[in-house]
Amino acid sequence: MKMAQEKMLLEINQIEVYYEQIAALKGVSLNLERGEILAIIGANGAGKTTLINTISGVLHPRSGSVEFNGDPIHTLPAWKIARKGIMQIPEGRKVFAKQSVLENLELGAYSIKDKSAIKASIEQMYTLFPVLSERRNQLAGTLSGGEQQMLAIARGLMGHPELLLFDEPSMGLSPVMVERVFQTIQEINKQGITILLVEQNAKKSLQIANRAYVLETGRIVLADAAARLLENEQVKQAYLGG
Amino acid sequence: MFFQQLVNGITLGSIYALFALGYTMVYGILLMINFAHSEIFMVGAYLGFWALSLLPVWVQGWTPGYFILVFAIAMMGAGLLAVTIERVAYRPLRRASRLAPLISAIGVSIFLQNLVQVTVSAQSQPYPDTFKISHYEFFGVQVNSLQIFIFALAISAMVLLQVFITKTRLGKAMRATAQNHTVSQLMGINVNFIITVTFLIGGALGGLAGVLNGMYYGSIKFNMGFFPGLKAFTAAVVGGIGNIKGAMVGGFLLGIIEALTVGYISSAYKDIILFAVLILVLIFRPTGIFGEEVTEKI
Ligand SMILES: Nc1ncnc2c1ncn2[C@@H]1O[C@H](COP(=O)(O)OP(=O)(O)O)[C@@H](O)[C@H]1O
Ligand SMILES: [Mg+2]
Repeated sequence: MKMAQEKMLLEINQIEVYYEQIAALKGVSLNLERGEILAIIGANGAGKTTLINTISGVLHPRSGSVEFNGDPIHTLPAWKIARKGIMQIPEGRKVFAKQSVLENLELGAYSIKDKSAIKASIEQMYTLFPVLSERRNQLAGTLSGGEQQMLAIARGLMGHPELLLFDEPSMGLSPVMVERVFQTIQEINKQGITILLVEQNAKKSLQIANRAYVLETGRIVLADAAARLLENEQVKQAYLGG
Repeated sequence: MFFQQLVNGITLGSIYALFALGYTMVYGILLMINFAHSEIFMVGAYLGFWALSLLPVWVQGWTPGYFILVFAIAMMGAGLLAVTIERVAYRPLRRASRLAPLISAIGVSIFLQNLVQVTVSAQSQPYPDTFKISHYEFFGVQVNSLQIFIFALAISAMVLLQVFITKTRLGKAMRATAQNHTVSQLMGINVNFIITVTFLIGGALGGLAGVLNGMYYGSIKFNMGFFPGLKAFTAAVVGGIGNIKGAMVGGFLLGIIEALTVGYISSAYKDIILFAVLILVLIFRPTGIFGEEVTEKI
């Protein structure tokens, strides 16, 4: 049995991640505190997806470590990491297009054994996103982009995560939907779920995050409270349109 | 004549459809053509052959249980063989080029044929005729009890498969895996386990088809999988490879086309017509009847 819960939910220590010979992360370290919203901002190609996929176990670091609740997880396959309570809302939503909305939700709960808990979660998702309830028997591929994002978020929540990873959830959405997505992330966080948010939309992310890191070509170049980064000249120049 | 050939075609189609499912299920999950599937069919037929001839008399006496046992042995054996082939010959090549597992599959196929040829027999062997065949006639069309048995068994297996993939947790995970391996893993799905289950089910259905083929034609041989395998593969392509309903429809369609060719043209032309169908489908509708665009599984 573990003693008092560790304060850090996730600790990443000096990870290097490669695609064949190309280094995408060149020694990245970061900590995630229980209950916070942490934003990682970075331009296209900075390594945001690589980072999130390394946490999820889709990719494995060549060196360095990832610890979740104090246990090293960086050698585990992705499906085991999902079962430990880390769910990812992937870039581009990636709903199971040929399956119904309801089946997508059930698949999110694949690691949950308790059938009545799954039923209850589905009802919760229908309350949180009424449009999913209306479309429950429709194929996910027929939903609009915004609806698919709602489904992808709901599918992630169905796995009862302790940590939820968002990979550019605002990508390709209308301004109204972007607003809605960021609101939803805050609501989810208020339920006690820790959030790692990776975004190119720096302004919105910094507004809802507690802390943030700036990632540039595989390296962390800045780390601070989100509010302070919003005022940072360097950040304003590069990410907030001057 | 037409209805007579239709009955024969449906019987043949039942076997092709069961056989085609293994090709299509594996393709659906791995985007790979399992050329060794024709030998799984052959080994299934042999397992049924041994079960039919070697089971003790006291087992053979009780007919329904006896047949269940025979099919269970053949299906389990063929399924486990398919799983073993995947582990040994395909999984180590998962990250290699697309061509590597294909060549490995052809190697396994040649190996199994030769193994049976050398250790069992190079000649064709008569299948035990333990099934009591009675003949019926409806409006001038001859139907026998073996044809009804084959059709009923094939349809039951297909209905069960359909229920499995649409209603169960594992079946839904299998369809998810066919769409995207990475995202399926992010849901907590052990994709390797799903692949094993796919080979198990596809192999078992192939073994079932092998036994039915042996019972229907009355003889088996080490290379018996080759032509039916090509036809079942054609059926899978005609239906839309990767699509389960497509394999079923394609199987029956091919069986019926074959029987009608035999009836109206000549049995010498049946393979020519069938492969002409394959070529026409590949030219005019390469995705098959139910097929969709090929999706990336990585
Ligand atoms: N599958 C891949 N193979 C090779 N290089 C890749 C692959 N995926 C990403 N990269 C490279 O790694 C770097 C980081 O990519 P990525 O993590 O996707 O960035 P981001 O998500 O921040 O846009 C980029 O230079 C990209 O070109
Ligand atoms: Mg990205």
